[in-house]
Amino acid sequence: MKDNKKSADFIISILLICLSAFLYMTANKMPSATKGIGPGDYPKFICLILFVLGVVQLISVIISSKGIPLIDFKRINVKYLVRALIMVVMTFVYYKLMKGVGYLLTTPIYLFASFMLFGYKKKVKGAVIAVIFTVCIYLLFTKVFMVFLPRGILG
Amino acid sequence: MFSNLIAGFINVLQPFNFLMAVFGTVAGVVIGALPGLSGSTGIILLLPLVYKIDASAALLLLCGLFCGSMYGGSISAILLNTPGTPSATATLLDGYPMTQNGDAGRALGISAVSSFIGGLVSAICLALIAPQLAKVALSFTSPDFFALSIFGLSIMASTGKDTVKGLISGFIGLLISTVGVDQVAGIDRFTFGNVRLMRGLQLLPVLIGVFALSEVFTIVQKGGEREGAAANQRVGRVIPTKADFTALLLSAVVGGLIGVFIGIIPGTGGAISCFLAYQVAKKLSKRGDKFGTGVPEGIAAPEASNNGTTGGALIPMLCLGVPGDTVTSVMLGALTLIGVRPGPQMFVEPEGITIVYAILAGMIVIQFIMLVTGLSCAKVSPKILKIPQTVLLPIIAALCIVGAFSNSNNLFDVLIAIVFGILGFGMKKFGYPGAPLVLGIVLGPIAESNLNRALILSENSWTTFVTHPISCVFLILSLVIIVFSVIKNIKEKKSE
Repeated sequence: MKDNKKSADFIISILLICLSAFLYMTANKMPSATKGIGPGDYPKFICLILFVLGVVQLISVIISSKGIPLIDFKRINVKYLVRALIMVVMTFVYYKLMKGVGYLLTTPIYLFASFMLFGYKKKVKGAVIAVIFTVCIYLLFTKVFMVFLPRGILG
Repeated sequence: MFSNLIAGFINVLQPFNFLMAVFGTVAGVVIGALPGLSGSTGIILLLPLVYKIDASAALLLLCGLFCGSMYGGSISAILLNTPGTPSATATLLDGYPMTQNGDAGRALGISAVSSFIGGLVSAICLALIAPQLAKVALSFTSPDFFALSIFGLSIMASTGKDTVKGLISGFIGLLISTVGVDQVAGIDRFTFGNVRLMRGLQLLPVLIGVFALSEVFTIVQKGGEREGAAANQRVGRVIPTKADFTALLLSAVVGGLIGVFIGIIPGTGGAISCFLAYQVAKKLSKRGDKFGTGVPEGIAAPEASNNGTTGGALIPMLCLGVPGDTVTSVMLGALTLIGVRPGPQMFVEPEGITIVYAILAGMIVIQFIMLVTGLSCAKVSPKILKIPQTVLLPIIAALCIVGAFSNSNNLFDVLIAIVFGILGFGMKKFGYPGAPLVLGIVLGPIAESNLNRALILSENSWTTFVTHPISCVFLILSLVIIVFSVIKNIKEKKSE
């Protein structure tokens, strides 16, 4: 686990150095002010510090790894990540479908699918909870908070 | 001050405000009791409600939730030997043995009464200290506020296991706060032609992503969700006996004071104070050798101290705009969302005074609500623990999506929440704390505007930050804190 973190820190440090350098150059194109700071000066200051922090982190990872390969994909436990990735993808698909299909239809499906992914065994009870929760939240947001959730095909 | 406090009590006791305080406290107890869910997650889930109601009612809801979650954490510590929140870790040392001895109700009762005493001590300290500290903070100038932002960020970054990672997280937060149209020059910053980014990254979806959605992804990835805990202990008499009350009183008062002191120090919190209070109570008690076997003082001290931190943590947040711990950093974000900007000005502006004294009086009232909730809910608390996480977590995820959408009826905010949920999940997995990131986003605009003002007033002289004594002290303190925590991190790594 610690070695996984070291590999990740190594990659994150390099990404941070590249990102801060890129954003510094972007901010450098913004106009400067004669008095006080211009719109680009403050982000440049932050990018500079992030660049330094990235370098410090990189040096620290290299020193502490002492001969251990910095990136070893064999150490990454894919099995543990799969469920989290499925959940992320499901959430993203839910977001994508919400506008077209509507909140009332997508939410119970998303909830029921998540219950199953999490290993909830009572299917009928799960389906009932998913529908009741969706309707309650819909009524709460539309009638009380006056937030109009996407209606989609029920439009 | 006294008349303002009376007005505060009248404000709190308005039916709707009181109802919100009760709702927040009960919700806090339930959320705190469920292992894996913290007070900050609870605050975020209630945010869509918070910014639809009046500021005083919203703040009472948040304070109730904050205090309730501190007590709630002890329920699973006592019944399951698993703390509901990190602040309840020391409670299980004597709470669970008492349950094993067949006294679960007694342990829950002692915890509720001690939480009440600790919370009351901290609420009184808050009401006494906050207005005085605000008077001092009123003399702060632009360089001081800039230095204070840096101080807040550095202290929050230094509390984790790795200071460099904390600083990276905080400065990324500062960078995120610059996205959008610059308020002074009207120039687009880091929008890369995306019109939706012109209004900047909204705080609510970011908070939802970093603190709530990431929590769901993390538990799924760990495979740590459970079908519902088997807390089958019989909860008997809850109200402490006279002997128990006498035994816990001193530990609870001392624990409460320790909690206030620890809570005031930014970046600390209940997780630290509970162990300190436990050790002090062990030394003070005549039966110190019995600690760990289920003695009332062993439950009273940590429970009073973690509730003591609530008022303590609110002191720097209200007076200086720098939060005391993770939950108050989320609260700071929530306050910004409802248009309240904590800081010394709140104590002099008429609107601010109403809000501040509603909080000060509300914190006292909330302790009584918490006592009643704690004692009356003790018998049903095993049922709270039976709520299966396999159902709860997807519901939280769905609430996150709806909450992000409600920010401005915009699906783009939902996308932001998901992106920050993934970012928060990655940060958690690789040891980058989320609190400095959020603090950076909240403090970013304050730091930038004060830096700009200070440089304009000093004709672009950076020495202004050294020549102003307060600013100089904050900058030196920030440097000292960072250097010391980096040295501490290096020593810890070597010893590993």
